[in-house]
Amino acid sequence: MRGNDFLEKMGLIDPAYVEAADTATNKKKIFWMRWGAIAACFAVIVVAATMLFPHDESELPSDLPMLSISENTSGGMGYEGYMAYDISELVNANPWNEESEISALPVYQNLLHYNEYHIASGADFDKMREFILDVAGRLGLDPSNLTVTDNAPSEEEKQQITKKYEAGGSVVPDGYFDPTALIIEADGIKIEVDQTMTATIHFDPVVSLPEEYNFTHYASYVDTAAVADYLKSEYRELIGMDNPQVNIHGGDYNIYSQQSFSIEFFDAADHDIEQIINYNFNRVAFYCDGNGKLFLARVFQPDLSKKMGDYPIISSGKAKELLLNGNYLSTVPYEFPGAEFIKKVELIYRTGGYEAYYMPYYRFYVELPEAEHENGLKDYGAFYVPAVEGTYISNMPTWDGSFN
Amino acid sequence: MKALDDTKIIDLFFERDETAIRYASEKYGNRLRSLSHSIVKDRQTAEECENDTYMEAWDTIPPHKPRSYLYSFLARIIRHLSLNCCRNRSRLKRSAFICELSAEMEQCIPAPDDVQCRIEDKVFADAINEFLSRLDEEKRNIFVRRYWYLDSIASISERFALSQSKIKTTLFRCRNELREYLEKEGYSI
Repeated sequence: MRGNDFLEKMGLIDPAYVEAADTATNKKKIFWMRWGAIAACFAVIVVAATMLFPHDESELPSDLPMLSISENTSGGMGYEGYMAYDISELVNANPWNEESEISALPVYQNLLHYNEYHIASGADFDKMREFILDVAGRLGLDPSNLTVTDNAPSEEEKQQITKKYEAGGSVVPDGYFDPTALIIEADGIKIEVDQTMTATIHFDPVVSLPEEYNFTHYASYVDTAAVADYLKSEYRELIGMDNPQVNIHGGDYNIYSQQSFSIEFFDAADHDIEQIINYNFNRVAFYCDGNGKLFLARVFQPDLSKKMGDYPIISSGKAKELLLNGNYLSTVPYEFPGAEFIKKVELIYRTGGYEAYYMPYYRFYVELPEAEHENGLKDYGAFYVPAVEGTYISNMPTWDGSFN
Repeated sequence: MKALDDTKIIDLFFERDETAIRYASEKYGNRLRSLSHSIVKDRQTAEECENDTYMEAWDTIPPHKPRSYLYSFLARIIRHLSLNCCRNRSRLKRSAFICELSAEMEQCIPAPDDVQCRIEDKVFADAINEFLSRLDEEKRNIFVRRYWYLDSIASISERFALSQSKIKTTLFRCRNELREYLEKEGYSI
């Protein structure tokens, strides 16, 4: 028998199983009912938002829950700006372009919540365990012979930490000693999966690429592309995609005028939207150390099981209007310089751990005349405008004249 | 037209009353067309498959008497007809997808060969049903959606609100388990 006969004969299975699979409890429906109730609570806000952001009501799905924008999620120093002599130097393989005819995109709830001590809750350790074993298998390790440990502190470490807190007149916050990552160590490889479902793979010893490859921090685009091709072939199993696409991204310069690129892979898909999701979320990245060796790889597989729905999105032109109106998020410490300084737009998902929802935004690259360098390097600041129709956003950002 | 009980529809088939087809169509037509469409991805072909399904049901009831599983009975027919359409009509451009699914199924066969279906249908059905009964409900539903309904990974992921990678992993493990089960039980297929 061959596979096609087998597929054909699957038609013979017990009708009860066929029926069950057709009427199986759909988790999403239960989820929707729950959110339906929450959405009702937001009814007043919907009315207010509708007045602020008029739209054609007849075309909008009415059962989508309201979304809230998470502000100040970057958590880092400085601001998001990219230095380049020209905007064309900033590259990536974003499958979205201005000709993309996409009218709706999925929004997901971030299942992780952080308390005031930045301790996360909501992680699914079963999924993390499954993920780390999957990654180990993709690296050629035998999952049945591996021990999965976690990063919970030892008793000795707990005592030391407790003493430190007590010395400062406080107590250890609840959950402080809980594990936040699972770990596997074997055969010169350490894999660590954290609560955001990112697997970090440490190669120890580091891996040397064949001499002809230039895998360094400041390698040219062409050299980086050659390395990516090599990695794609050498780590096909780890990448684990049916049709991996190379995303060489970056092209910006540091203050010493050194240009750098990074290497990632995402799975191409038949469907535009699936490809956009893969590009933004389901990625595999490789990193070199200072000596041009492969020392780290990451597999990103955030938990997207809580889908809020497919939300109507606005065009990039409409987003530009909102940008000019001050409805944006940005860490740029300068006033928005004006429409003529908008140099590029792309659609991305903000995927930071502190986002309440993973939702699409238009990222505008805006030339900042006040930040131009004497050597001609320009600074392109990032300004984000929610791509989801404003009607569904309970707190549309408005620049209030202050800087972060 | 009010939907009739399956038992009454079967009675009409037995009485050779052609309204049986009208009642069956009224009750299950949408689901059947939708099932066929998910396989052939062509509206007109799906409608043709639906009509052929009623004809085949007319020819086979009696002797079959699917009083308690009429939908499944019709669904099995339309699945078979739709698969045949995909194989026979290259214009449907669905052959690649069917090949992909066939290749996945082949991984379940202990020693694939070109001998045309030498296992008896009854024996095959018993073996698969026994295997399916050992799976937990979630895995079984995922397996059936993929290889009975021929759903895409994305569609299964959406249906059960699970990640695509979880679906792929589950299917991969199910295929391995099925092959091991068939080997262990000594099925020669």
